[in-house]
Amino acid sequence: MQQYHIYTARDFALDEDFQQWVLKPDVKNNYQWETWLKQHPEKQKVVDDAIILVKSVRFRDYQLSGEQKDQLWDAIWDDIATDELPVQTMPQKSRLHRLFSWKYAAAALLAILLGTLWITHENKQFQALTLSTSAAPGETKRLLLPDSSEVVLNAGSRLVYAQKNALLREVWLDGEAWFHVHHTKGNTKFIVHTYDRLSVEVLGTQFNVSNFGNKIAVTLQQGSIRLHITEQQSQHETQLYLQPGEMLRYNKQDGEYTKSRTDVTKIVAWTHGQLMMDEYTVADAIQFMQQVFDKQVSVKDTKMLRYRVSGSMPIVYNADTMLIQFEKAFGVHFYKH
Amino acid sequence: MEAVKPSMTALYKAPPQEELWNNFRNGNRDAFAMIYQEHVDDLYHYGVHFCGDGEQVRDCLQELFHDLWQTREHLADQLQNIRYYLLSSLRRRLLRALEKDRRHRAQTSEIPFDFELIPPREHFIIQDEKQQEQQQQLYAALAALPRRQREAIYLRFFHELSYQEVADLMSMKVDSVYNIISKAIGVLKKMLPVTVLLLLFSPGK
Repeated sequence: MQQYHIYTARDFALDEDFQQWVLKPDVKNNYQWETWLKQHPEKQKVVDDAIILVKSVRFRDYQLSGEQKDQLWDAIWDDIATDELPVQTMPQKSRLHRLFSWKYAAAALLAILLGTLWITHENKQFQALTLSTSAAPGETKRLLLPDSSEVVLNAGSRLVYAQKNALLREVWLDGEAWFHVHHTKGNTKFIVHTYDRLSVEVLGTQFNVSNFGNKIAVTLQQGSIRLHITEQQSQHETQLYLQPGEMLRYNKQDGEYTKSRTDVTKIVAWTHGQLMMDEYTVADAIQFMQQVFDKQVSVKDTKMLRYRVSGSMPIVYNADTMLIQFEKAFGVHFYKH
Repeated sequence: MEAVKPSMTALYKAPPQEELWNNFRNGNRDAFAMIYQEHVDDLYHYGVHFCGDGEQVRDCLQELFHDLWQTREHLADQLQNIRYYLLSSLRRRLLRALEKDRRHRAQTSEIPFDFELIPPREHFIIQDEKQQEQQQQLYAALAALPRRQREAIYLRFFHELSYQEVADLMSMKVDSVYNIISKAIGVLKKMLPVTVLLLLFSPGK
């Protein structure tokens, strides 16, 4: 610690060792600087100023979410796993130049042939793959589709999955499901059909589709999706995009739709067995009982339908228990027939 | 054959850098996971500052870590600083990607270095508007530094690269790095008289 006794705040702030102490203090540099300061108490003020200088240099923070970090890690390993497939010996395009000498030509040709064979073979694998599954009233189902996409199927819902070729994944949904679509390397489209004039197209993302009765609601949690809506009269197709946190409501009867911002956590809470109620009415509860348990609840006094509560409760997949929970929440009593 | 993916949570106390690096080079997947976990946040931070496009950065990071694993046997065995190596690798990839992008979109003439200095508000209690105004001007002066200069400041103060490493990474002379940092410190220094009350604090994050 040579010339430090004549340093100004600016000199200190420019000194690499000093910066290191302020930016990343450790046992060693703490000891060094504290010892030095004890010997030069008159420099305390100058050092304090210098510390402020160094600490003033800050930058806006950008962070990966935990989820993004996991997704990135998965993607890296997807790539590595693909490389480790024994058949794939085809060199990458950019490396072809370097490799291209007569010595390698034959090998490269063979590799390309093998690669083509492998791709054709894989195409064949996709053909005629159709799966269908349903969740009975009072239960939800967690599924992993053949393409590694994750689906949570709500009670009383049905899902058909079809993969006709390597370029397209399609599902048909009746009811409600939350999707976490796996982004494939070849950017394969994933389309959710609703048996109506609306369909959802994605590459890889998380979203919820509810398709009960006359209403369809699509809520985007992450990524981006494109909606195709065919107009009833003109057969003209409209394309719409959703941003994360947006919801599109569609009415099957008149083809009207509205886009709005919504609290996605509330919409997808059911996938974690939670019912989040925001100004939730008795009418909503009755609809819930109908949708999830296929149970009819009726009220004589229609005024009662407008009773409302806010809060959350666990979804219990037992109709009677659930009804008791609603009774407590609304302070009413339902009679069984 | 399926690649055995190490769990992200299988992280025990990190061994010294050198050992970690050598384990990784010998194909230890946990060591690879540790390197990823330790550096991905910093790399992302740098990348987004560098080009402002999170998606682009994620793409480049995916490629970077993939290539890192595939070429691990050919990497230097004596690595001074993994972070430096990864930062410079990311920088090259981003430049290349932006270069390509620029060919698509002929209009973009510059690479956007989106560096931003955040005022150290908690260090100052500003008394009147005049002083506030004065401070605003000084920050404007800092923000107006050329992008390359801000990048050098950022690499030194955020990533704690040494002056020499900053110089190497950005293909500059060490003297230039000193000058840039000196200029920035000079601007900040002018703000010190503005200080009305110093809040007590000690070094440490």
